Amino acid sequence: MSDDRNAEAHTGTASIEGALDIAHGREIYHRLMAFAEDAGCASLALNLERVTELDSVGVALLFELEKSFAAHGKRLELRGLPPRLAERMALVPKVPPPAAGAPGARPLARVAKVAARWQHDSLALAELVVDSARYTFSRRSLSTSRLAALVDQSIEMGANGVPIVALLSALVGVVLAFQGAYQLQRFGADMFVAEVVSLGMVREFGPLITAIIVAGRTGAAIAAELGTMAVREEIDALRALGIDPVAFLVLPRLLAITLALPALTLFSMVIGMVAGLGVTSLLELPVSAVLWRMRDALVLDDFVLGFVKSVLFAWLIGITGCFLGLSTRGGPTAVGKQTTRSVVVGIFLIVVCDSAVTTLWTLGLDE
Amino acid sequence: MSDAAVRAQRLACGYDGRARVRGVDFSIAPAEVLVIVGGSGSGKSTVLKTLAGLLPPIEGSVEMLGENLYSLSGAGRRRLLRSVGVLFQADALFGSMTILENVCLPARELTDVPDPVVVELARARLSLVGILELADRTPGEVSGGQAKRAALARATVLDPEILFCDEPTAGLDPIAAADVDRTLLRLRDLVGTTVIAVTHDVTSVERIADRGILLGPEGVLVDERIDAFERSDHPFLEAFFDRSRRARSGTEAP
Repeated sequence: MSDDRNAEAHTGTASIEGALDIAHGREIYHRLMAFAEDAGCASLALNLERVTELDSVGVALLFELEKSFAAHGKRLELRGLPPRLAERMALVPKVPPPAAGAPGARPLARVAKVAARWQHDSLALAELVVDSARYTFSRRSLSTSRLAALVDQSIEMGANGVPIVALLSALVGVVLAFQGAYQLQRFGADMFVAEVVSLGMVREFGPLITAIIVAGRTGAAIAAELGTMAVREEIDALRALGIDPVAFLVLPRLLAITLALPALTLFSMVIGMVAGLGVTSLLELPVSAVLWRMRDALVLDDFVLGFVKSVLFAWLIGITGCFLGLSTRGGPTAVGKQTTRSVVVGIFLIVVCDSAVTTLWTLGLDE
Repeated sequence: MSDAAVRAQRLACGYDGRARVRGVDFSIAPAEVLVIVGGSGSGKSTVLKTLAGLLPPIEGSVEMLGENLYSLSGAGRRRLLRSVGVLFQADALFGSMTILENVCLPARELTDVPDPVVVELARARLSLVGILELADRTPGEVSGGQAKRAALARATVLDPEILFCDEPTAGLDPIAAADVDRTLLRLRDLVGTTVIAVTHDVTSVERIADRGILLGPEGVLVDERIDAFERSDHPFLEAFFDRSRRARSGTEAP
């Protein structure tokens, strides 16, 4: 390409020789934009007689230059494009600039859209919860096929989660024992590490750590599976067949997680206490005395608290995963987003619920 | 070296070393529109993927614009494939981007064209396929037919020398299908794009094709100019063009 141009005060002329195409677009654009930005140039006559090649990028470049000149209050006049190339202009129709919303209208519209979505989501969530409760107590809630699904889901959510729950619970038990013993030693009360570990694991850390693992593992899996089914229209297919997706998909998952999470929580409590006991032996505390204090410290009420928490956490994780999965719209990206949301929202709800239950339970005991 | 846009020589293609189709031999001249038809499972899409550089052949070779596609190095093949556009059967738009960003992507990633020009070009292409008003939506927010048009805009944004289309009009209403066909023909007429389309759409075949190929697992069964292709006495093509029904309706017509 060669570019030959002559600028005069107020009116410039320029010509393009050779190809006006993808390979030369950048150079030509910047050289001609210099005219648009030149305060001394009111208009430009661009001679295209010697253009030998013109592709879609070249045509778009000419249209974009016209707009840029107009934006600077100037005029670009295109002259002499060979007829052989002029027909290629049809490949790039002139389009109006993108419409800008009225000032202030866009934020308001966004607020209205968010409010409408919240309203819709709240109603859909309430409907899901009510339907789940209704199907749980219906006579057909556990037909043969759903029982099989319940068993499969329970194995996946419970048994397959045992190794990771065991590892993390043991580590939490070890940390509790070390931290407790280190602080209590300063007051000569290191035997109280038994209470720290046992009460800590049963009332707090057992349910919490297990729920966080299950939210990341099972909650995400539920959201991803149901989300994929939603974008592939499998949920609509169920409805078209007259099968309620809540009964067919949500209920087995909710029942399975309600069985699996308390079982894993009990397992976590035991593993955490055993690991804590192991640490006390390393610290040369009498193991039998620590074990006796652990047994003495724990009452049925502590296990009930841990159990209540684990059931509530199971419902939160299950409902969150199912709701976000079923409400997935769009394509694969939406599935990824809903899966991430299910983990974040699930863990947030677990921590909020944990604080609320602990506070209410403790206040209730005081009374 | 040859003057064909694409030449397939003794091609066998398939997955995991198992050929789904063998003995594929044909060439396509520049600016020709070739349609490939065949029964379900005849390997049409597999052959298209191999021709487009997405699936290495088990045997044989693919010559594209005079170069042996699969004997080129990675960089050489990428350079050659920049002259190619592919319209996938499922639209294959990127869900995390808007429709406009999807169409801008090839120009932004593969060229140094200034961004305002890229945006102008992408909006013009969306206007050409009739969905400019959807530019700021994501693929999840538009219908299947609209997504297909967006995919066509993306595949053609850089004026490809060769355009591979897998079922370009599948799932479109007749008006949208005609628009897609018109866009393909306009590209062929104005830019000289060679179009290779796998299709089951008889109307589309009649509207755009210069030449037709009937493909079966044993290779190319019929390879004719479109008028001879439509008159072929191959049983599949007779059924495909529904010739007996047409003959009957022609006889019964007043």
